Amino acid sequence: MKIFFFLFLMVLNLSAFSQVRYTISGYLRDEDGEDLIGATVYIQELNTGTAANSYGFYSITLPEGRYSLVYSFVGYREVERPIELNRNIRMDIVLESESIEIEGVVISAERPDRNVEKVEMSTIRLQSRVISQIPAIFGETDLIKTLQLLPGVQASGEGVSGFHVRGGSIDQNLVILDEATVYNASHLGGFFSVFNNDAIRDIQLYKGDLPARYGGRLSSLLDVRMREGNQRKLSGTGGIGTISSRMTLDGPILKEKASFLVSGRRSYADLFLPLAPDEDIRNNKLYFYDLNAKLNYRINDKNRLFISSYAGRDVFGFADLFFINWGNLTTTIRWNHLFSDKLFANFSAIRSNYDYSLESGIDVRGFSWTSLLKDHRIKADFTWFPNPANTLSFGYGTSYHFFDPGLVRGLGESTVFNDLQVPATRALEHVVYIGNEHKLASSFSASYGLRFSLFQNIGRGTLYEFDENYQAIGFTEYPPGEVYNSFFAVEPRLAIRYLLNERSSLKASYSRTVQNLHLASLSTAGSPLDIWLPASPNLKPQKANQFALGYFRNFLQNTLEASVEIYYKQLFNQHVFKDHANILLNPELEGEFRTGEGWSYGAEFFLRKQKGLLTGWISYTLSNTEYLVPEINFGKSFPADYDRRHDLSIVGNYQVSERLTLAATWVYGTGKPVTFPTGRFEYGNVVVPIYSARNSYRLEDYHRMDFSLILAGKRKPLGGAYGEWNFSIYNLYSRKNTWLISFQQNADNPDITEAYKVYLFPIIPSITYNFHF
Amino acid sequence: MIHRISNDYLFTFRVLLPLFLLLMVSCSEKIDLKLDESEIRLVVEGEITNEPARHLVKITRSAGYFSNRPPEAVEGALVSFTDGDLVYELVEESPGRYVTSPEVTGVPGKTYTLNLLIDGVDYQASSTMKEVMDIDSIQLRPSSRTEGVYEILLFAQEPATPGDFYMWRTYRNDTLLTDSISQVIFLSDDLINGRYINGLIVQTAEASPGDQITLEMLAVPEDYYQFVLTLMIESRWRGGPFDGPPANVNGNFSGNALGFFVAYSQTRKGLIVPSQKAIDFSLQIPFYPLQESE
Repeated sequence: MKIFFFLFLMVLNLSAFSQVRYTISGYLRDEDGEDLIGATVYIQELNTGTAANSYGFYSITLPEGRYSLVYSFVGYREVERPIELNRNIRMDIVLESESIEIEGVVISAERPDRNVEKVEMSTIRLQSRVISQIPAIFGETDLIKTLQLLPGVQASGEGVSGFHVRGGSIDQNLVILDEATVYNASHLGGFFSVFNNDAIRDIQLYKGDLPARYGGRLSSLLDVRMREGNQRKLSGTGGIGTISSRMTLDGPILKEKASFLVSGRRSYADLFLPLAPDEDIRNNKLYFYDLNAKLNYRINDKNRLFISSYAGRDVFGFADLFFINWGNLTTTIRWNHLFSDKLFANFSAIRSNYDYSLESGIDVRGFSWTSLLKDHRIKADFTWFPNPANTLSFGYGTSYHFFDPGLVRGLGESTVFNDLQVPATRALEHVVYIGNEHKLASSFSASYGLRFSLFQNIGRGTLYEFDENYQAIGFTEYPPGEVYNSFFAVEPRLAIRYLLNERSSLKASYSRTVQNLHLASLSTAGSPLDIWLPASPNLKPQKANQFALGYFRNFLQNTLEASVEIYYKQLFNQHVFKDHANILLNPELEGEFRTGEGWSYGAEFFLRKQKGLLTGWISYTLSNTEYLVPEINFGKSFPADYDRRHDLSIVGNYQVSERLTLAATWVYGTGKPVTFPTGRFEYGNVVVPIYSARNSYRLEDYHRMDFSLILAGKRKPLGGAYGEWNFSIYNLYSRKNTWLISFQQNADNPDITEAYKVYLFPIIPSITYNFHF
Repeated sequence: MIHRISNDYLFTFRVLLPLFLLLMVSCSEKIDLKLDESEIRLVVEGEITNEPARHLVKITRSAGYFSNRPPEAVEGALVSFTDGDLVYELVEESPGRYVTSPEVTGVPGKTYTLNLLIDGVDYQASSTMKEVMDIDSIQLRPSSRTEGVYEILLFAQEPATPGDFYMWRTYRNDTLLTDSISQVIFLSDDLINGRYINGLIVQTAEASPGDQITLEMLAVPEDYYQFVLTLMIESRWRGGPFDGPPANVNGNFSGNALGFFVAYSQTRKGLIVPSQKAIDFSLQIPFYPLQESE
């Protein structure tokens, strides 16, 4: 703690020594008015610089003088501006995308690239246009599946959008869309993510070195930002695909002041159901949709307002027997305000909902089941740019969580069912944080911060009491508003970077994270019926420590970025279900958990080329993740379900001509751990397996190649409408990757047991047509 | 107050999610798999009911998973059970099958303890017999899906006490149709506690007009219900990505023995399948399956 106060004092000292200084500030945007988060400003004379914050705002304070400022961002052409600094200057800069004319690619000047120079490590940013060029299953571009190709990120299974970061479980990823938490980021039982790439500008994944501004989950932050909407002209993007069709419209409302974006996507496999010969199939329902909308208003130079919203839903009906639907709803209202050209503030009000409902039958056995989770949050975030050496961020936030795990009612008057209500719970979470990005010397920078969180369980709520055998022995009901339990946590974060030379750097980081919400899910794939529950006296908050070291080096005038990172992560208070846990509609769910610890360590190698005709990356991860829970697996440690020793991805994208792009990916991974029976017994004429150790076997190694060809229509020099065909092939050499092994009793002779390998997705070609205007 | 998930929801959960997967292209092929073999353990399947009968205790041994032959019977065991006052000796009627004398009758409310002595090792399990509710009546209704199959509707008053667990078996002309535990339907009273059960479909039976169909209803202890549930989860119901992690099915024996000794009470009601025309169609309750059955 002391060190932090010392460092903060240094910040103040530095400003005290200042001579006559002026500030240059403004926004960095692309030609359509989209903010360029993380774009850099570099002052050649002083060999220093800064980067735009998450709203595209930058500010740098320098002594009086003449300077040459270079604005740059990967994929954009550099802009150089000479200035005479003798007053505070507001300079909004527009960078032009360089992909329009590929012949004229400018390779930026010789200076350390952002990859080497920035302090943060274990983070990756991807722009939506990179994501859209990667071959995807059924041609459905999916940002989460693209993430799975990065080092340290593992897919939960074949074709699903669940992901694991550095040995963390799915619920340890914080997924935010324009700052609103998305609780279930998948459609159709996990096969597609909820993010419609056309509405997304870019994503950033933090694998460990989390800024103090963020927290709440142990393992990662996936920050998804929606596009602002074109400020110059009305434009549209759409696509007709194998699974779904999309349409996005964006444009100015008030020229250069206000813009909007509306985007929709709907799957349409069900539209063909009426053609089915079987009446039962015709009555089925199965679709999902996503709607994104955003309004963006620049009130004046100092104030901006954003309103963004997302609604998505899956609907599934099986004849008259079942009807289930679930979905997320998020709304974010943000107000950016410049208190001065050095002090940037953002105020947000955020709402996230996740709900599902299920209905079945209309006879005496009919029932309905509804569940709801909602979050309301307000927060204030400040960025202060006192001098080129320091960028401070600090803020405050409060959230209200409401969990209603389930209400079941019998339907109709003749129902045989009683109502069953699993009591709802409520919680408050307050957060204060402060962090600084500090350039201590020309080669040495640090980023450090502290995050304080206070989590409170509040009434109305029911707290169960369990004995040492996890049997409920009673419960207490608390009246509305009463705080009946609190958890306070301090989360220090520290990252340092040492520049070895202009092309290479060493980085190290430590972060502590705390998680107060737990996901109760038996499956590794994620299911719509997953239940979130808050920390409580029975379920202590999860905690993690992560240590990482990295070496970063750029080659060939910064066209090749390379990095090696090693990490070690400790996971505490890991709540794992006991064997045969009863998780659905169980008011005493907390008694089904057993608590233990986990650890993960690994090395990640990454080589990326972002410029030129051939772009792509190679990523390799060597890792090990284990858990130890005294009551599970006879008290011995066992590999996590998502433990993979080796994980390799190769992604290549080659621009053959102005209109033709080829892309291919190849992935290879150690087979996932599985539990196989080692014995059997018979009871009631059924063969029952006997297991000896959890996850002690492995499925065979997984590998797969995907390929795509993108043929763009002719583009007129002045713009205008153009189309693009995307032909893609998933699993090019039709590898039969094991999805699961199922054991069955032979139908003719029940004494014989047989093993079957089940695999999904042989070679799957698909065609998507995209258009832009 | 203990709520347990009713099988209904489990059914929904189990049927619904695999349906998603049917939409995906999934294929399967038989493979050869080499597995380690765990130690051989004793397996006991024993019961006592509230009716006079030759109550059966079956003793076998476990085997390697791919042993692919009937389980080995355990002969020469000393088997007896006690209700606390009296001790009942069982005799080996055929290899591995031990029975009581035919007049032995269990009494609801009593706790029975089974004692085994095999190769000098003692094994023990206890079970307390519950009372079973009366069946008011049953009705048969032809299944709308499969020709020749009848749904059996139950009418009964469920007692107000929570924590009752039921199983249903069927006979056709004295032949047990549900001869595997995977065909037995089981349900907890979680959501039906204290209600009048007004035509719940509790079993199905393949039959022709003129056949006698008998529904047998068992009241079983909670631990046995859980045992059968986990046994089903680990055997017939396993095989999807939404299953929880595999785990052992633990019974109620002390020592290292597997299996279960259960005391239960039962009652039954029979009906003759009428000719098609005579079926009462006034009962127009739409089809809805109770739960997964084989």
